[in-house]
Amino acid sequence: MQITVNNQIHELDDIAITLTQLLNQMNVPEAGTAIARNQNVVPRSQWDESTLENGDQILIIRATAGG
Amino acid sequence: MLTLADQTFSSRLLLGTGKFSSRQALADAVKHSQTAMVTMALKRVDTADQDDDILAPLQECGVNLLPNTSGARTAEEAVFAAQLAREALGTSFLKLEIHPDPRYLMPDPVETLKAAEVLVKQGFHVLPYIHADPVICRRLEEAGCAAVMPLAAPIGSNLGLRTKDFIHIIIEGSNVPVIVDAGIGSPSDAAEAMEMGADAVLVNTAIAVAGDPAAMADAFRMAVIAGRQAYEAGLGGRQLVAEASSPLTSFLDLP
Repeated sequence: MQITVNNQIHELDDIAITLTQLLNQMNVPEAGTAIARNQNVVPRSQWDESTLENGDQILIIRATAGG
Repeated sequence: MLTLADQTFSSRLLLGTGKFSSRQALADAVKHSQTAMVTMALKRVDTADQDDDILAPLQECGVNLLPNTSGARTAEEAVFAAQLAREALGTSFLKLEIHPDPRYLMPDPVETLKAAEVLVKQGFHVLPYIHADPVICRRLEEAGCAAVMPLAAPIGSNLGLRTKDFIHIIIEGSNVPVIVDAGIGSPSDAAEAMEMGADAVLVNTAIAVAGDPAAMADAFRMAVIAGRQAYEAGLGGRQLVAEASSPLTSFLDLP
């Protein structure tokens, strides 16, 4: 299965993987993070249930320093 | 007390978190400023990047977070950024900023108003960064923004209150808090804005790039308090001719 994360192509095993698991694999902390899937923001409460599908475009952002 | 969307804040100094040399420098400045609200930006997670987490130290300071939409060039992008920001930081407060031109970072008033109208309907407390234009500020207020944030000068320029005359007009006509944002370069600028009746100021670069950011944060804290107190006390009027403050009796006249 192939997905893109922040415009980079990721090859994944064809095992169902949730957004929470994706964050863990990428070592991204959950606090201060938001995820959009195919240009739709996914509420934090759904990260545990939402499984990735082939072709998904995932955007992961984090809060950072700024004015 | 500053009130934004039914929430009160103990400080009238908002602090931006960009450009600090280290996490520690930022945390020290937050403490010395005694700010109650700090801004944050969003960035894409870079897998190769070591996580420069400033969220944890800010949360330890107990300040409210005000995410911005910096990077958005259109209303559509700003609305998407706002939704991400709300999810990332769990707050409905939002500094709406749309500045397509990287040289002067002037806010796009048309896109900002469009985005504000959408975001207010989605339950955001919108604080729009905007030019010091009384007409667009009025339109943003009518759209339901929780405050307006007119610029003093270009972002990061430290030029001071270049738009002073227009900020006067905005303060006079506004029914929502006026937060002077961008370009404030020194504590005296901040004090002047507060003396004029601004409800708050947002300062970032002037503190972050100071020789001693913590000491500068302290100086800004005092300036904002002094400026506000002067405004509330009621400044004396100005005039071009002298008016004696000592009795002009002629006790030195010899008979």
